Formats: sequence, C-alpha cells, structure tokens
Amino acid sequence: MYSHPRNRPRFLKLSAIHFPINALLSVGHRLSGLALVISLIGYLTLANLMLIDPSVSLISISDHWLLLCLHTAFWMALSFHWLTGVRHLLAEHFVTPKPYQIINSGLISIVLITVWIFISLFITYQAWS
Amino acid sequence: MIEFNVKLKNLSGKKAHLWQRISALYLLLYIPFLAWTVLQQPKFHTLYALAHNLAEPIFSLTSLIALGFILVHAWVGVRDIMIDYLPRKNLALWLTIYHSLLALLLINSLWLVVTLFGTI
Repeated sequence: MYSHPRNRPRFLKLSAIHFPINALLSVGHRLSGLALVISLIGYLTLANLMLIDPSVSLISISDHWLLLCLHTAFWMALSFHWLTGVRHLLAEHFVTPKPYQIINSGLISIVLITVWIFISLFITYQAWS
Repeated sequence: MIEFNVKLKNLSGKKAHLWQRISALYLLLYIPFLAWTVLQQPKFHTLYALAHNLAEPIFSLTSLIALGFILVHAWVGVRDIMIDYLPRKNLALWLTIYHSLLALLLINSLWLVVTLFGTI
C-alpha cells in the first residue's frame, strides 16, 4: 500500500475549499454508504429484539417514530447511493470524451439531485402516512 | 481457518475494485426489485408472518445472494474510507475491528434467516 512521507503538507481548513457539485455527490455517496451500514445494524438489532422478546412485535412498533425515522433514513440513503452509484458505473463504462463529459456534467448532477428529492418526498410520504 | 487480522500489505486495490463493481452491478438490479417487493407488503403482526409472505424462491434466493454482495460492497467501501481518512498508525486495528463487525453481522443475519424461515 502507498505510504506518504512523514513531512507531507497539511491543509485541514475544509470550509476554505469550494467543492464542485460532482465532488459533493461523491462525498455524499460515501456518507450515504456509511449511513446504510449503520441502518443495517439498526434493522438487525430490531429483528433480534423481536425474536428474543415476544412482547415486541412488528405491529406494536410499526408506528413508533424511531422505526419510521429508520425507514426514512434507510430508503433515502439507499436511493441516493443507488443514483450516484449508477453514475459512477456509467462514468467507468463510457470512457470516451463525449459521453464521459455528459455523464459528469453539472446538468446531469442537478437532474440526479432533483430525482432524488422527488424519491425522498415519496419515501417520506410512504413511511409517515 | 479464517484470518481475522487485517494486514495492510495484503490489501489489494485491484481485487477490491473488481469485487466492488461486481457487487454494485448485482445490487443495481436487486434494489429496485427489493423496493417494489417492500411496497407490495401489507402491515404484518409478527416478523414470522412477514417472513412467511416473503418465502418465495425467487425473492429468497436473490436476497441471500444480495446479503453476500452487500457485505462485500460494505467491506470495500468503508475499508477505502478508512484507508483514506484514518491515521495510518492504528489503521490495521480499525480495519480488523470493522472486518470482525461485518463477520458478526453475517453470522447474525444467517441466524435470523434460519430462525425465521426454518419454521416455514
């Protein structure tokens, strides 16, 4: 594995760096991936609890705010991770300049975010209605 | 015997990238299928009733494969984040802890599958 020399330069004032929208989506892809791992642990904990304690059933917790928040966060993170993941895969597949530029254009990023916002509204409605 | 201690010199970027892409392609198709299946489910009283309703061969088999790929995808993804951002001094230890956590999640998931679907 690559090892950087000890005296590497450091610049940790993140607020001074202005990221392009593609970089923000890439960071978001990683953050949503982390959120999905945490959600998976949450779902497994709930499933274990329901099997260990018979007084906790699916119907008894189905309207609990904590479970609704978990559903909302999980599906919102999953849809974002899926959409940005599709773009990653397409960018790796179409490596010739023209399609690559289209896939990584600001317009496609805005379309992706808009689609995700609509999906998120649908998820929130489905979870809380 | 399974080696749990992660050694930095054994980590391969090329192999990890390949597994990340294979798992991503499978999950690309599986996730819309999962979302569609979840949308079709009514409210169930117990986890056993939900498992009973989902115990169709296509859903069960694709979900078991997806579980394996999710863990592979989660290992490579978070491993890369840890390599990029954690100080190198204790990196091997943190990777071993995360590796062990994923192994624990796999064992727990398989136990849940056997417990829930074994009764059907």
